[in-house]
Amino acid sequence: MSLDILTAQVFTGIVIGAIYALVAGGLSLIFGVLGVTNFAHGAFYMLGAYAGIFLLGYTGNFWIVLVAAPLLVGILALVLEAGLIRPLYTRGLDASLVVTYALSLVIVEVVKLVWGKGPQPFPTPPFLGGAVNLGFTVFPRYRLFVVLCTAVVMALVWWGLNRTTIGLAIRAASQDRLVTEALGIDISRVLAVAFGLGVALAGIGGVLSAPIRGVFPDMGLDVLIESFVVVVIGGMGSIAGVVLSGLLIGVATSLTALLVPALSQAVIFVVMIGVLLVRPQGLVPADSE
Amino acid sequence: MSGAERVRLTRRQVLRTATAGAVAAIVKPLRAIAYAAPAQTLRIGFLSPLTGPYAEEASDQVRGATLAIEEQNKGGGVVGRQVELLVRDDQLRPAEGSRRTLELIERERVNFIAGSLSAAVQLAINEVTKRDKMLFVSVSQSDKITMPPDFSPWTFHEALTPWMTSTALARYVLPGGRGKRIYLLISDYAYGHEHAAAWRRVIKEAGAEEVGADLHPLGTTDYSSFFPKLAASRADVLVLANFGGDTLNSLKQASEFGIKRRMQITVPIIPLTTALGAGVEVIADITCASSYYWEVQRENAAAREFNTKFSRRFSRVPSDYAGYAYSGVTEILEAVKRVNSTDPTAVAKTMEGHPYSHYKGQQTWRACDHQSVQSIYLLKGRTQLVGPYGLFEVLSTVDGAKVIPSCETLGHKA
Repeated sequence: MSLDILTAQVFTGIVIGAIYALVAGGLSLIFGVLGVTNFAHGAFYMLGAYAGIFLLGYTGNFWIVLVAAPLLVGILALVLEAGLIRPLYTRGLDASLVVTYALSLVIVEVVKLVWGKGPQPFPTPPFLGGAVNLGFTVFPRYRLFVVLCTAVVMALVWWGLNRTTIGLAIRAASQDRLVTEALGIDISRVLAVAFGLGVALAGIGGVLSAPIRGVFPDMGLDVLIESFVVVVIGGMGSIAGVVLSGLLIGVATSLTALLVPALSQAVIFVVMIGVLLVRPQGLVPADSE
Repeated sequence: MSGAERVRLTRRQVLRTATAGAVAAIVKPLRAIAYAAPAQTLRIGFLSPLTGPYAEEASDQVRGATLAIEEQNKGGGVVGRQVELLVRDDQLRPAEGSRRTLELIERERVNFIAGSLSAAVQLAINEVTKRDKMLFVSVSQSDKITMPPDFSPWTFHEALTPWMTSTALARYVLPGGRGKRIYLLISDYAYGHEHAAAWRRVIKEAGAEEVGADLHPLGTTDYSSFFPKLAASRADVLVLANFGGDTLNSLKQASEFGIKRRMQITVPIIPLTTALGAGVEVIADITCASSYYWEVQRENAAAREFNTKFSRRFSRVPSDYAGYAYSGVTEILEAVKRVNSTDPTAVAKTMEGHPYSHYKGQQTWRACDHQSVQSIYLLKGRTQLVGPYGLFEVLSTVDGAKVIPSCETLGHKA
């Protein structure tokens, strides 16, 4: 086995990991701040892709779609938050599990009614089509773009959480809601923003992966499971942890595909078990950030 | 014991008796209706993975079966009875398939079973129908179902087998393929393994060389990690032995990685439903085999008639899986008419060796393994879509009799 293949394999894994991290980031944010395990996250991811198809049909411009589709999904999330999610804040994890799972079923069925059960084509934007020769391997331009996008989005999220007033409020709310409220911060608005942001991240993930993985109503299912694994490995509620664990899983998947291909999907669970045995709190626990 | 309590006991007893009487009065006639119903209508249980990755193909199966039943009912029913289709979702899971089948047989008292869209699920259904001596027409691909020990005297296989499909396709792709380098990417379950086995036989027969093979888990969403090794193998031909959504993703991603430009990609089957979801640029130049493609109507009057009927009813052209389901269900009902009985053994006997033509020209049930011997169409993706459904051009038509394994090969007595 040549060094080129090994390098290519690790590189491929990092790119897969970037997509993992992007989608799992929103899930982690929602859990960290709201204490809600969002089982509808996969459905929002799917909705992002369908919003993308809808908007692409209208505008024909990928850039507009890339911004507007997650925005649309985020706005929908704000509406749903007010009606469905808010009553969950004072209840246990079991209530949020049932409600968000039910929500995901409703979203998927509505999408099936509107667009049908079958896959929908989502072309790669022409200016990002084709492959680039990186020396050790030939790599699709679009995937490199996805990594760049992920890096930018994750950096923005980190900056927003750590360097802005609203970010400060979100972080405060995740630590102690009562005290935060006592300091005169409108807590329900802060939580709504955090939920909308988390869902919008799923939406971006959906749009970005649409040209790679295709668009179909059940596309969120696998992603939901993968995202939960990534969040658990990274440490529930930690953005840095999600990035780290996304990359770890991506590389593990890729190397397994080279050595024992049939296990390439099962390996993420092996990694999860291994990490939890050594570090039950995850790679980067939320309170260490 | 106080008087009040005694009164309450008596009242409870009265209530109990009254309720029991009322329930009996209502239920008795209801039960009479429930038991009378199956005697009047002829019931066909149809299993299909309506949820899951093959949902779109499954919906088209149901359309095909529905059309078959509606036609028979319009013509006055079968042996004086109306026909009823009971559709059940097997969720693409063998355990669910066998549970649903048992339910159809025992609770719904169906006369026949048809359907399935998985090499694995149909074997689970077959296990139940074989034990209960129930007639089952499978409408999706499997080799095993035609071979002992799975072979059942009451099971018929309307779909092509992986052996037939991949042999026909491989012989076309590798004509005198001495020295050609082949790479196989195989979906890791019965379907993928059976197609890969057929490819390997032809690779040997043609003197070509297998330079690599990888198994991928069913339902893999990202194939990029399989590509560095694949690209370095300098293969001439890449065989994607997978189905539905897996084909769609692996094809799309392979062309992104520039693999499509470097090697010829071929897929055993791309159902029309999958191809439409992939879009023309993904399907372009890909070769595949099929039991049916609507454009064969140019030189096939039976196909023309079927397309017309189907699109009049559902406002779309039938896919290959709609064709299988239509033909399989129609053939059961035609066989019932021939023997004027719904006895599974009598119906099975009359089907054995019988020629029929319901949607694409003549087919024959081979007596030894109950495989439908039929034509296979080799297709190639167009670079430009022709009309809303014109994704493929027909390369050639292969006579199924030329690629079917002999009865002895499959383990049957000749």
